[in-house]
Amino acid sequence: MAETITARAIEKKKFADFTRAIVDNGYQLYGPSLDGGEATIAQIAEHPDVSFDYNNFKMSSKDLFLPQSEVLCRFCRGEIIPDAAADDGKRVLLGIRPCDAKAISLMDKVFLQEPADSYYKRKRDSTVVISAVCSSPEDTCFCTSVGGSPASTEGSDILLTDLGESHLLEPVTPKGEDFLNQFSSLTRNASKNELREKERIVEEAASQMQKIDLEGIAERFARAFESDLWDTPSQRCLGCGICTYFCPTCHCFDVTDEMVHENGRRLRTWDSCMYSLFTLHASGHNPRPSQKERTRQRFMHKFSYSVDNYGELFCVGCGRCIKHCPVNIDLREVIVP
Amino acid sequence: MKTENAKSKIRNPYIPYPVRIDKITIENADRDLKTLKLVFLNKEDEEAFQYLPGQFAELSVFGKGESPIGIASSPTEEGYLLFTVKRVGVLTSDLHNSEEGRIIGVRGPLGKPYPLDVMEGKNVVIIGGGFAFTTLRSTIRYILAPENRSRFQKVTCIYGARSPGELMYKEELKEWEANPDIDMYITVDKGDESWTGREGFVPTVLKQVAPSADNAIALVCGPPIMLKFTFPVLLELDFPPEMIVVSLEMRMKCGIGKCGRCNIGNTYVCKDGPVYTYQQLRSLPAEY
Repeated sequence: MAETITARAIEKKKFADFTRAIVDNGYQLYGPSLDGGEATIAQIAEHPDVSFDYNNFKMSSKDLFLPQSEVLCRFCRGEIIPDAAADDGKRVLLGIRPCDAKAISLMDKVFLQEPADSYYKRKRDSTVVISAVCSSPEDTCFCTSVGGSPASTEGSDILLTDLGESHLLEPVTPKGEDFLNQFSSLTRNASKNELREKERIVEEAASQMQKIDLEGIAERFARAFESDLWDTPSQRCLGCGICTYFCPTCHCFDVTDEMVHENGRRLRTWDSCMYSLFTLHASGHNPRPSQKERTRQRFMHKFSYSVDNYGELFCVGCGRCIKHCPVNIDLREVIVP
Repeated sequence: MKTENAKSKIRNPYIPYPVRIDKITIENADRDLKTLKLVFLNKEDEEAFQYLPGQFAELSVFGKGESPIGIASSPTEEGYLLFTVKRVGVLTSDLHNSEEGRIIGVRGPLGKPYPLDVMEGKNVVIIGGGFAFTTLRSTIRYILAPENRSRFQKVTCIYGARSPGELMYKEELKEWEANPDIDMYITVDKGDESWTGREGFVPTVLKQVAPSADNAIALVCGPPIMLKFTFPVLLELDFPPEMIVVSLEMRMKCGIGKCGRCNIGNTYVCKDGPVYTYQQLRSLPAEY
C-alpha cells in the first residue's frame, strides 16, 4: 500500500516545533484559534501550539480564497491600476475539516475553469491545505450523504489525524508531499497501528452521522422545478442570506466601484442569490421576483445545476446553513426524497 | 497607458481595456439611445479583442461600475467598436453624459456569437424589435461585407420600433433598403404624419412577409413581449425550434460564469449565451 510508505507521524509534543518550523520557513500559518470559546481560523505566529480539539470552525475557510471583500483594481484619474497587493505570500491552512477542504475543490471547479480567476488562483496556488480528520461530527453534519467523509481528502494537500499521542500526516498531493519533505527531520514514518487507529476514528465518526439518500437528486430537483417543494422553505425564509454567507461553496459575488475624489477602486464582495437585488434588471424586470424563486435557485444551483455543469453536488454537508438559519430552515428536509 | 492585460501573458479577465469615446451619436427621438464609437488606446488590446456578431462586452466607467452591452459594430468594421446604450440606470446615464474624448474601459468580448457556422449556406431571416437591434446590426454589417456575402444565401430583415423616431441607425436603414443583397421590411407600431412606411407589430409583419423556412435560420432579438408573439409565428412558418435563434439579456457582473447571477437553469447567459436556440430555451425554466 502506497499510504504506508508515505504516511508520516509526529509526536504531539513535537508538533509545536513543526508549526514553528512552518512559520520560520516563511509561510503564513492559518490555523485554529480557540479564543473566546469558538473555533475560528486565525493567523498563528506567536502561539504555534495548536490543538484540534473542536468540532468545526464557525466559518469555513472560503474567505481565505474568496475574501468577503477584495480589490480587483484601482483607478486614478481615469487610469486602471491593477491591484498592487497582488502577492499574498505562501500560506499554510491548517486544521480545516475535510468538508471545508472538499468545498475548496468545488470552488476550484468554478474559479480555475477558463478563463481562470487570477485572484483566486494566486491564493490557491500559494496555499498548502492541511485538513484535520473529523472525529466528532455535530447533529447538523451530513457529509457522508453528499459524497464526503470525515476523512475525505478532496481539496487537501495533506490529511492530518489526531491520534491522541501523535498526529498522522498523510500527503494527498505532490504539493503536500513536497511540503512534508521540507520538515522530514521532525516527523517519522507512521506505524501500521497508527494507520489502523485512524481508520477506527473515521469509522466511528461516520457512524454518528445520519445518511440521506441523494441518489438522482439532480433529476429529481429538475422535475420538481414547478412543484410545491419550495413553498415551505420559502414562506418561512426572511431572505437574510446568512445560509449563503456561511456556506463554504456559495461563491456568488457582486462587483462595485468606490470613488473618493479622483481615486477609486473596484471591489468584489460576497453577494447572495437570496436577495431580490441579485437579479433585478435596470429596467425593473426581475426574473426571480419572490423568495420562492430565490430559494429554489439556491437549492437548484447546489443540487441540480452543479451536477449538470461540474458533475458535483455543491453541498459538502457541513450543516452551517442549518445551524445558523434564524427561522430554522433545515436544508435536509428539502433534499430528503 | 498600459494595462496589465497588455503586459502579462496570462490575462486577468477582470481588467478592462482602456478605450476612448471617439464619437457619440444620438439614435432616437426620445434621446435615450446613444451609439458610442470606441477606439482602443493600445493596438495590442485591439488585436486581442477578436469578436463576432452576437457577442457583448462590459462597458466600464471607472467609479460607476460595469454594464453588459451587445456589440453593435461588426468585426468587418476595423479600428473601432460601436455600442448603442439605452439610458436606464446610474452607469448608462453617466455614459450618456460623456463628452467625446472620454476614456472608459471595455472588457470582453464575452458570450457566444450567433451561430455563423450554422447560418452559412442558409437563408437568414433577421427579426428585430426596439433597441435590441444592436447585435443584429452587427450581423447585417458582417453578412453584407463583400468578403462574407457569398457565404450566406438570401437575407431578409424585419425591424420594428414603436414610432418612426425610435428607429435606430437611420442612415444605414436607408442604405440597406436600397441594397439588393438584403430585403428590408421596416415597420413601426404607429406612424406619424410624415411616415409613409409600414405600420404594425413585428410578429404581424413577419406573418405577412412569411419568409420560407426552407434552408433558413431566423435570428430574433427584441423585448420579451415581441419574442412571445414571434416564436409562434416562426413555428407556424415551419421553422424548426433549433433554427430559431434568440439573444437574451440578464443582470450580470463577471461575464465569465463565476459570479453566479445570470443563470437560466443550468446555463449562464454570460458564457453559455446570450445566444440560445428556441429549442434550448424551451428546455430551460422560464426564469428570464
